[in-house]
Formats: sequence, C-alpha cells, structure tokens
Amino acid sequence: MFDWVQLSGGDHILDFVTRSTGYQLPGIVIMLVMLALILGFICVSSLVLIWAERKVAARIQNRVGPMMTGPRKWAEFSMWTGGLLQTAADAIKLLLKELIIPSKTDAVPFIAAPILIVTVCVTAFVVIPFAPSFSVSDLNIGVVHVVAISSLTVLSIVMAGWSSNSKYSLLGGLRSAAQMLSYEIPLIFALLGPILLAGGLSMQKMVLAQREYGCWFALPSLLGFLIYYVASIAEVNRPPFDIPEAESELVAGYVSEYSGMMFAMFFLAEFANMFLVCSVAATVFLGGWMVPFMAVPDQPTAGYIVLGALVFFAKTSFLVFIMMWIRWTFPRVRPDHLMNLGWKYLFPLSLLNLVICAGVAVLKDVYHLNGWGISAVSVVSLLLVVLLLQLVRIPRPTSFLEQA
Amino acid sequence: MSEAIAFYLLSAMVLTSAWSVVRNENLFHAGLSLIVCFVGVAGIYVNLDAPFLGAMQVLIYAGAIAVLLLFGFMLTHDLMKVKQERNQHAAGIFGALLMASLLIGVILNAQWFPASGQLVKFGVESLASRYMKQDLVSFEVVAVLLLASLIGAVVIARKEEGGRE
Amino acid sequence: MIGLSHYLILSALLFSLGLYGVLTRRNAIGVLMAVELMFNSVNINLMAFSHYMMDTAGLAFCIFVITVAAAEVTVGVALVLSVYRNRNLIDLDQVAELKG
Repeated sequence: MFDWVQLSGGDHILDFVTRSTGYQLPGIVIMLVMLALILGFICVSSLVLIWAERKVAARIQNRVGPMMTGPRKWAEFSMWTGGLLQTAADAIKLLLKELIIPSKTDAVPFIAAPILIVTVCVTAFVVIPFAPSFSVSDLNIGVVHVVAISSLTVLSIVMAGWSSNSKYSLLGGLRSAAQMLSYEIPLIFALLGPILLAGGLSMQKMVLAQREYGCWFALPSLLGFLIYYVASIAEVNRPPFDIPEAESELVAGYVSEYSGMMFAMFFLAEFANMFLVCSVAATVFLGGWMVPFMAVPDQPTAGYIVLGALVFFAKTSFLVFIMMWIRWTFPRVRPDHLMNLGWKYLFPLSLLNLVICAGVAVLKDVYHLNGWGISAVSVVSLLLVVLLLQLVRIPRPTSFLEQA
Repeated sequence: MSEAIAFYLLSAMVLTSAWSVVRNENLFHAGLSLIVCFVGVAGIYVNLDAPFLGAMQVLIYAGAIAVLLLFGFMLTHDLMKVKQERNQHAAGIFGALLMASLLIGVILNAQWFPASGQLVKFGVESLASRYMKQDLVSFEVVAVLLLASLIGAVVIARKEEGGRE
Repeated sequence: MIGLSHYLILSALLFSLGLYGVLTRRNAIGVLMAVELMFNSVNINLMAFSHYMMDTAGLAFCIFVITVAAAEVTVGVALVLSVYRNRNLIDLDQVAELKG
C-alpha cells in the first residue's frame, strides 16, 4: 500500500507547484510558506476561539454575548452570528494602545516573555497532523516534541512575573510555575499509555496505530484521557486552575503590568495553547483525522484529505468547547488542593493507566483481538479499577478551621 | 553543508551565552543566558542525529532545571544587590586557560579513528533495548537516586516546626 | 566538513568557561549554573563520540548524566535555601565555616 500518511504538507505544496508550473521550489521556500500558514492559522483560530468563548460564556450565564459588531444583519439573523467581528475590534484596539514599559522593570525579560510564549506555541504546532499526510513535519519524536516545547511556557511566565517588579505579578508567576511544573508529570505519564500501545512517538503513527487496533486509544486508556485532559487544563492555566490569573484575587496575575499588544500576545498564546493541547488529545486519544467506521483509502485523494481535516477540527473543537464549559461551571481550586490533586491522585492513576495499557498491548499481540474485543477488555478493566479505588483512602488536606 | 552551518551557528550561540552565564553581574540574566545555552546544546544534539536527546534536553534542562535555578535565585536574592567584586579573578582565568589549552592540545594532536560505514540514527527503540538489556542495573540505580534526591530535597528545604539552634 | 574534533573543541571551550565560572562566582546559585555548563560540555563530548563511533553507549550515558545533574541541582538548591534561611546570606566566602 502506498504510504501516503508519512508525507508532509510541504510535499503536497511542492507537488502542486511542480505539476502546475514545472518549477522546482527550493526547500527553504517551502519552510517559510508552511511557517506563514501556521502563523495565519494560529491567529485566525485564536480570534474565532475568543469569540466562541465569549458566546459560550454568555449562553451559560443566560445572556447573549457580543452582538453589536459586524453588519446589523448578522445580529438580526441569529444570536450566533452577531458580534463575529468583536475580537477583530478588540485586537485593533489593543494594537493602537501604547506599549508601556515601567521604568523599574527589567526590560530584557519583560519584552522577551510575550515573544517567547508565542514562539513556543508556534513551534509546537509543527507536528500536529491536521489531515492525512498534512502535518508541517512529521518528526519521529512527535509527542515528546510537543511536550518538551510546551514546557518552555513556564519560563515565559516566570520571566513575566519577575521582571514586572511588583508583588502581584511575582506571586502570580511563582504560583503558576509551581502549578505548571507539577502538572507536567501526570500529563507526560498519561501520554505514555498510548505511546506504548502505538509503539512509537510519531503523531501520524499514533493515528495509524488506532486504525490497527480498531478502536480509539481513549478506550484502553480512558484514565489516561481524563488525566491528560485535566492536566492540560492546568497546563494552560484555565479555570478552575487559574490561580495565576485569578481575576478576583491578583488583579491580573503575572500580566498585571503589561499593556497593549504585549498583553494581546499572552492572551493569544493562551487560546492557541488551548487549541494545541486539545488537538494533541484528539490525535492521540480520539483518532485524529480518522473518520469513525470508515476505512482509510489506499491512494491519497483530495476528498479524503479534506474530510479528514474537517473531522480533526470537529473533534478538537468539541474538546475545546468542553474546556470552555468547564471554565464557567466550576469554582476555582485552592492552591494546596491543586497540588494535592496533581501529586496524590492524578500521578498514581496515570501509573495505573500505564499498567492497563500494557495489559491491552499484550492481549493484542498474543491473542490478536480485534477492535470490539479490545473495547470489551478495556471496559471490564476500568470497572475493576473503579471498584479497586473504593478501597483506597487518601488523606485530604485539612481546612483552616480544622487546623485551629 | 547545512550541518556545517548549523554547527557553527549553534556553537556561536552556546559559547556566547555561556560567556554571559559566567560573566554577567545580574544573576537573573545569567539564568536566562543559561536557558539559551541549553537550547543551543539541544540543537547540537539534533545535529548529531539524536533528536530524542534534544527533546529530553529541552524538557529536563531548560524546562525544569533552569526554572529550579531561577526559583533558587528569586528566593535568595535580597542581599545580593551589592555589587560584588570578582573573587580570585586571576586564579580563575589561569585555571580556565590552562584547562582549555591542555584539552585543545590533546584534541588536535591525537589520532582519532572514527568508525566507518553508515551513520546511525539513534532512535528510541535502540536506547530502550539498551536500557532493558545491557544497562538495566544502572537504570534502576538512577531511579533510586532520583527518589533519594527528591526526598532529601524536601527534607532539607522544609521549614522546621520548632526551629533549630 | 564537521569532524569529531570540532565537537570536542566546542566541548573543551564550554568546559573551560564552566570552570572559570565555578572558580570566580561568589553566589552559590551562580556556581550551580557554571556546574551545569560543565555537565553540558561533557554531554556534548559523549554524544560526539557516540555519533562518530556509531555506538549507543554514549547516548545511554548522556541520559544518565542529565538525570544525575537534575538530582544534583535539586539537592543543591535545597541546601542553598537552607543555608540562606539559617545564615541569611549565600556569599560563599562568608559561609566558609561549618560552625553554626
């Protein structure tokens, strides 16, 4: 079978240009074109996600959300088309604001922090498989690349908190760094299950391995999926884990001293990061660009590529929507409860998930189960895990009243 | 050809940031240069056909160790606002120059016999089979070492309840 | 082209810079940063040999070095914090006596 899933997006562009004009583009031009595509995609998707967040928040709170921007017809047509240009208006406003750099701040980290966080976000998007044979570069260390590059956002937040030279920013920065470092561990361990099942780190290989197994990796490693999702909410500093940006406590946390476009960079990076972790979860746990109950064709067809891209976006958007839903439903988690959750609950459960995935991999290799068999075994093992957990009691942190 | 360009650019990045690490008066800037140095060294690993090690370098060194050093600096920085004069400057320069000249002398005058044949790409599978078959004991010992250092650090750095004399 | 000795010279220069930092820095955290430079130079050396001798021994040992460096920095920073809490300074010249 023609191995078309190992191509990259650049190969398709090169092919298209060569066929239509007969001119062979050098590799560096392809790289720049793909970079521009990613940057454009991140900006557009962040704009849409910010608008979607405001609309979802509004509907959960029984109001309407932004309606006044854009043509009047949009607002009159439906609640969901009104105010589509709101984020563009906000971005233009922020662009026109003055970039204030307070005199007592350390200028080098102050300016480098927003630059670093956006750079990190763009770099991590390189391995995401948007469609069959359409990732920018399918590195054979795909998953580890995303995790490693995302771990640099901690540095950006520490730099922002320290260089602002104000109490609130420093507290926000330190708390955020502690939270993100703690939740990287369950995040990585939750990903170890699918890595073991797929037998490799490459993202396209993960999607193909889910085709071989016949079921999405969310079933054998359901614990891993839930742990990865919760840990990634903590990694992106979203509520209910948003102690760093606790809007009612710390003014604005580590971004208190930022204004104008630098603030917009942090905001953009937060939403782009949210899209990134949801797309990694969709690829690794929910089957990526594979359409459910439809076989992957042998030869690359443009129709299947487009369908795969749509399916990928649908899965990722669903996970992003659930993140937004969670934001407006749960109260903020106390910092010591947060650490407790990460170290005492999520980390041991992720090790248990690894054991379950190892068992499923052995069963598949030895007994050659098909998709339905693996699903049945996974459901049974998860029920056993739930029964087992009723027997375990982990001491909870005491409240301040009990300590007195 | 591209490997040569990458090597020279990355080594320039590594050496200039290392110079800034050891010479900068402001320790926070020294920590940030250390991060640049780590990322440069990760690039050198990728140049040497070991991308997994490069990712591990970024994840562990730049993502955790550098942050830990910056935390250590931020928690102990109050008294270091005084401009510090250089400590044993002459001995430092002499020692470093002596070491550099010795090493470079040996490197340039020795006969190196690189192995011939196809250059190998180091993947995760070869590393994993090595750990599970040949280096199993050291693997387990390193795991115990990490556990010991974790517990030790927590015990050393926590606040004593009764205070100590 | 780039041969083995290029990487070894880079490693030697980085090691010497780290050595200069260890001998010169007065702040304990500064010394820890210079020690990290020395660890990295050793790693570059190991990986260069591993690449040119086509043996995975260097790669395996490199990961051990990274791990041991992480453990060492953890305990080092914990010690520095403990000394700072007790003596209120981390200037290495002035904490030279063990008497508490």
